[in-house]
Amino acid sequence: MTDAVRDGLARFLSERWNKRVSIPWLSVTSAGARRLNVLFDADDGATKHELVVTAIPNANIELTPIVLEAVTIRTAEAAGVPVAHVVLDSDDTRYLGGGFFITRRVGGETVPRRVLRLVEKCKHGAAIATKLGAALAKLHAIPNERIPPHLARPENGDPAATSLLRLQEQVAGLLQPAPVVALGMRWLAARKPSPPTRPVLIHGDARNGNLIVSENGLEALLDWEGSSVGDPMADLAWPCVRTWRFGEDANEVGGFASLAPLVKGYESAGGVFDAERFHWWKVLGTLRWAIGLAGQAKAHIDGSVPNIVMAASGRRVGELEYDLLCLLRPR
Amino acid sequence: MQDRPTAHELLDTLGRFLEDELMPTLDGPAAYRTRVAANLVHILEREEALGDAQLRRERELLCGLLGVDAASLPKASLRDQVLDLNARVGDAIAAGRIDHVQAWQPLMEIARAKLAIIRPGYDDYDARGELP
Repeated sequence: MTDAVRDGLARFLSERWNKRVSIPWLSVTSAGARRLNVLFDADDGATKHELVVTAIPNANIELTPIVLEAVTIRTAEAAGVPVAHVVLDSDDTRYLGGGFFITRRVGGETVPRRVLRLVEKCKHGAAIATKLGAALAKLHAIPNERIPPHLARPENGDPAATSLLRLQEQVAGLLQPAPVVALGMRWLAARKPSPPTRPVLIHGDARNGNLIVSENGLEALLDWEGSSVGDPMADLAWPCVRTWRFGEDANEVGGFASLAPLVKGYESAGGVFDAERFHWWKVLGTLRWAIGLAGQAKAHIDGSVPNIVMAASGRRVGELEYDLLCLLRPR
Repeated sequence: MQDRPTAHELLDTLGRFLEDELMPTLDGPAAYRTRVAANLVHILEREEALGDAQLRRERELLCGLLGVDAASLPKASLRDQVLDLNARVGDAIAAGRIDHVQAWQPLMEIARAKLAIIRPGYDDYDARGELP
């Protein structure tokens, strides 16, 4: 596979840059069924460019054209959000089998536990959270007319109702009854927040694991695949779900900081934090992830994605049920 | 009767083999999956030791929520009885027949019991500081 990728990238860049380009080094960081991430160097004879390509390896499974993700990234970058700058993109399937985009390679860690080790060494967790808060505020401030038209919009401008409806469908597909999930769904329905003043462009998955962190702090937000138009508090709450703390539970934001610096960064960049709404979306995110893990186990059991990691996910649902109950503790 | 090692002893052996012998020879995705496999073996060990007692306690707690007597349940395996009770409690919660405060404590006890098998120690943290 790496030979085909190397060849495809060399051909593409040679044509685009109109000079002979070779790929002296590449490293596949993730090769899921759906997406391929490859770090590589491109040598054009004069300069060595440090780049990353994100590709859909097969055009037939490209549900949403990946080049639209590049549009979202450019929109975020123009608003001052730290991202990996998109250098080139293409929907031509002759190079890598499907659409792709190429970004600059940003130095730093993305693997969550490595991020946490770096934070422990550099003691810059609060600064990272503040910068993340500011980045999300800038993203959420993007005016309607500049939000890419391809992004999913909530029904009737109501992200909470739209998310609840989608969850209800997923709950119906669970393999076994789950009273804790029923309790969570009822709680969420009873406390559904009103639609936000303005549904905004949200990243959707700005958790530890999709952040590039260096010794200097937060360098970029990665993986814009799940972007949509939604409630800004959903974007702040998801990175605070306990799963993304990787054992550093007392540090609510991704295991590296408390909530205060995230809020401080958000408000300092013009965002308006709403604690009740934030909590509601954190409950929803926790419940959604419980169902997501149950869904992974189901995909293993029904044979559609049989593997041991998916099987093990089924035995993680209990962790999320416990987290959910903690968040729903009666007062 | 099967000869020794018992099932419990075999699971222990299997876990040690995966962790101490196999894992050090692997890296990348194979090492990760082997760690996942070893963890599943440990889950099975704990389930073997604690599972039945937990199911009986879960049956008692769910019966309590529904206001029924465990002795009056249709004859079935313990697991099937608990599965059915979970469905009934889930429906009752969804319909508002069991309220939040009433359900929370028993469901929390059940959740903690599940953690004792799947992830001991996970409930040391209780998120009290996060509540608005």
